Amino acid sequence: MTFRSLAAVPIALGAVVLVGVAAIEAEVARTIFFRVEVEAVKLLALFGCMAAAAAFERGDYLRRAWGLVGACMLLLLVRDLTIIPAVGAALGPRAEGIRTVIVTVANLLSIAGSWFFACTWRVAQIDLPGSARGKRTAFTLTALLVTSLALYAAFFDVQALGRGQERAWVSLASDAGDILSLWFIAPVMLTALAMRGGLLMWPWAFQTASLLAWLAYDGTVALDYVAGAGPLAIKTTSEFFRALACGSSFAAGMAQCKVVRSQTG
Amino acid sequence: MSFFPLRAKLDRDVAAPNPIAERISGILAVYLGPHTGRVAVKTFALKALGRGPETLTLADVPQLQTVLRPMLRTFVGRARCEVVLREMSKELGL
Repeated sequence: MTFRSLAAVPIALGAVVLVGVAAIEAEVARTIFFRVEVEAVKLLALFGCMAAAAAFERGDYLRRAWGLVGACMLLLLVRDLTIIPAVGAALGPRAEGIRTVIVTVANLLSIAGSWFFACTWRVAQIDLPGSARGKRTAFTLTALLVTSLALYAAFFDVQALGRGQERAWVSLASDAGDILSLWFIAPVMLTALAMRGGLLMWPWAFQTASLLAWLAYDGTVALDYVAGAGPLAIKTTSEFFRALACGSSFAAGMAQCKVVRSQTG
Repeated sequence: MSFFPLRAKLDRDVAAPNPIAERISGILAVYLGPHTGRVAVKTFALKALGRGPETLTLADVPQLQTVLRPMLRTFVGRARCEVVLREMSKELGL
């Protein structure tokens, strides 16, 4: 698979979501479509991350980063297993608590993985493009944007909690994880920029695209209030961005794998 | 005498490129891109040798490779890093 064909993966997945929603009219069929899509893109992301981790040797710095992000995806898939009616029934009243714990741990792993990615340039002792002031500004602006978006989403979760919706804890844990993981967009993006013209630009650019798509995914919560969008439009938009994020994560992992195992030297 | 006097002046003022540094940064550029490849040679030459890349000689290369190793390992892992360094030695006839 070439780097350019990897770039087509997230776009194709996003297109499948849009076409699928347009083509399916029955609500039950649409619910099944979304469920299959969610699990399929998470599996793809898991595969990409694990392939990248496996391409490195034990002790290699980025093996840890890929492994942590992959473990997050794996836990999110495990969490989805608990919503199978038979599994949910077997877990009984503890089901929601177990889901919250799984999502919290998954988010902690994602934060740790993103932290490793964000610190790569420091560990490697390379310079990121831009002046020190420019970098500080980029980091601060990203942190502000991400925090305000995630706090906006968290506001609705807190409201849901107030209404006694226990499952809002899962969203709240996810929002907290997103704030911290997405703070690292700026260093990852600047690393991709530093690598422009080289093979390593690809995994870092895909990783940046994945983080930006997760940011947009979080932003879809605002659609209801800002644009007055209906539930289907919000669900379609958020699934579109999830497909982009997971597809980009898959592409990033496969590109990293390709660079580490390439015959070019 | 150049047809473009300013260009000729600039050519005189800029230090002549060092072929060893150019070849090393060319190899690094495959992975890191041309800009970071060049900057890495400059940064790590100063770090390892206390001199700029324009002064690099073949005798300096093993020492430069020693300081380049952690950076390359971080980005491409131990195995690929050693392949790149071997390639570098081969390219420079070491």
